[in-house]
This record gives sequence, structure tokens and C-alpha cells, in this order.
Amino acid sequence: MGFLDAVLIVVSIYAAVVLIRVVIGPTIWDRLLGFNMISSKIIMSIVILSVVTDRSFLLDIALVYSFLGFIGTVLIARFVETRGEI
Amino acid sequence: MIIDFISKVFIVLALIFMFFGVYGIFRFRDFYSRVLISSKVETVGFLTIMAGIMLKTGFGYSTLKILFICLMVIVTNPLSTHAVARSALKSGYKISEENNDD
Amino acid sequence: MKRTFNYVVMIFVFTAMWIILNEKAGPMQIISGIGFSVLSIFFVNYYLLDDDYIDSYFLNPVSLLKYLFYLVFQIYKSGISAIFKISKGESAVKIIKYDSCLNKELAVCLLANAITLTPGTVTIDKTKNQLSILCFQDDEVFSSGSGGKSCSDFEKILRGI
Repeated sequence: MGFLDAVLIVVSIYAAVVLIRVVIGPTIWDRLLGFNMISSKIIMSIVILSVVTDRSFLLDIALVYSFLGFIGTVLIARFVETRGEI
Repeated sequence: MIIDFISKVFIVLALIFMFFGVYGIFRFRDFYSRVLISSKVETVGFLTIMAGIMLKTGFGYSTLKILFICLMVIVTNPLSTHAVARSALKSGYKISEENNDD
Repeated sequence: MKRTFNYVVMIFVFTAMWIILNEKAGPMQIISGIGFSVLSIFFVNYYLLDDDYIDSYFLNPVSLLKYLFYLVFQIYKSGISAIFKISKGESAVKIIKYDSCLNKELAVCLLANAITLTPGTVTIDKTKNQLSILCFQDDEVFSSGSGGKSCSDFEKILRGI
């Protein structure tokens, strides 16, 4: 087990801890904040995984995932702000 | 050899930064304090861990692609934080005056 | 003359991005990259924007690089101070108004982006060149009563964009 594998495990533990905030969050904006942080940690894990397994096409997936997480967060925030009329 | 050591130092530093970000999301009682601190410390951790990985892989096309992902995150991460904070403020979630919980 | 030069710089940057995404720099990739860059700029000009792409969204690459380096330095400086704030656990916030001395639309947006990216401040709203900033109660980073005539270092850099 190399160094980067251990880093990957630690990042996954962080994401699981942030998931607690998403579950217990009192308001919907706490949940959105947690979702944003988890999506950023997923991008990190994909990049580390692409270095560990030496497959560079995983970086494209990370790029696309960064777009998708951003669009999801902004869309839900606008949806809540305008009460259903985007 | 020395570059490998420096990249490991960067990655460990990034993990410490990210630990403070995750700790901060449970430390504060108020939502606005959480949105001010925690998501941004996490951006610092992201940039540091990407710098460590770029040092580890050496110069090549994958390094440039990781740099591209960093640029993307620098542009989009503040936008989503701004969208969440603005949505909370426009929907009438009050800023609490003192440190008392609700 | 200036506009033609700006278009050439833009096409060069887009082609570099295309080559990075392809992970190969053969003649086929360069030709198709130039073709797609011209096509995308044409598409944006004719279908997505009212005025031209170059007039509203062109960024000077030199000042953009200067902005990025200064931004990364500022992020680390305030990230370390944010750690102390987390361990102290203060939590009263306030909203202040900040009058920027920039007048280009894109430059004000980049300033708002930089303010949001540094830990401890989040931009809430923007009207013309006035920004509403959410920050901690005892922070004096952007003091509201300073008259508004003195520009910060960010604004001096962003004026060249």
C-alpha cells in the first residue's frame, strides 16, 4: 500500500464526515454546502486515482464532474431562491 | 528524490488544511459563519493537493490537464458559494445578532 | 488592427486548450483546433451575444497571469488566518457595502470572484459597481468608511484587463 492509497482513504473519510452534515443539516442551504464540498472531494479522488492507476482518461471525467457539480449546486440554489420558478 | 519528498509534504499539508475545513463545518453554530469559512479553506486544500500531484507526475500533458482542472475550480467554486449564500439571504434566512443558538 | 490581434490571441489560446485535451500535438490536431476555435468564436458572435465577443470578454493574458499569481498568494495568506478563526470559533457576521473604483463590467465581476475566493468574505450582491460583502463582525479588511477613493492592489491590477 503506497502513499497515495493512504491519501485516497483519508479523503474518503473526510467525504463521509461531511455527509453527516448533509444528513443532519437544519436548513437546505447547509445541505447544499455539504454537497458542494463532497463534489470537490470527489474530483480530488478521481485525480489521485488517475495518478495511482496511470490512466489519463480519468482526468477528463474529473473535468466533466467539476462542471456537473457546479451546475447542480447553482441550479438547486436558484430553484430555492425563486420558489420554483427558475 | 528531493522532489518526491516535497510533493509528499505538499499533500500532507493539504490534508491538514482539509481537516480544518471539515472541522469548521461542525464548529460553528450559525449558517453564515459556516459558509464564510469552511468551503474556502477547502479550496486552499484543493490547490495544495493538486500542486503536490503535479510535482509528483512531472511535466507532461496530464500535468497541463490537472492545471486546467485547477483553473476550472478557481472559477466555479466561488460562484457556487456565492449562489448558496445569496439564495439563503434572498429567501429571508435571518442573520443572528449574537452567538446564541436558535 | 487591435481587434484582429485580439482575435489571433484568442484563437491561439483556444488551440492550446484543444491540444491539451487531445494529449497530442500532431498537424491534424493543430488544424482541427484552429478550425474549431474559429467556429466557436463565430457561433458565440452570431447566436449568443448581442455585441462582439472580443469587446466584452477579452482578457489580456499578461494581466490575467499577474492576477492569478496575486490571487493564489492572497488565498494562502488568508487561508492561514482562517484556520485561527476556526479554532477560536467566533461567529457574528455583518454585511457591508463596498464601492469599487473600477467601471468595466467584467473587471468588477473578477473582483467579486477574488473577494469570494479569499476565506472570510463572500460577495452577496452587485449593482453597477457597488458590492455587498458578507464578512465577520470584527474584520477591518474592507473598511466601509474609507471614502472610497483609494484603490486596493487588486483593483490596480484589474484596471489593465
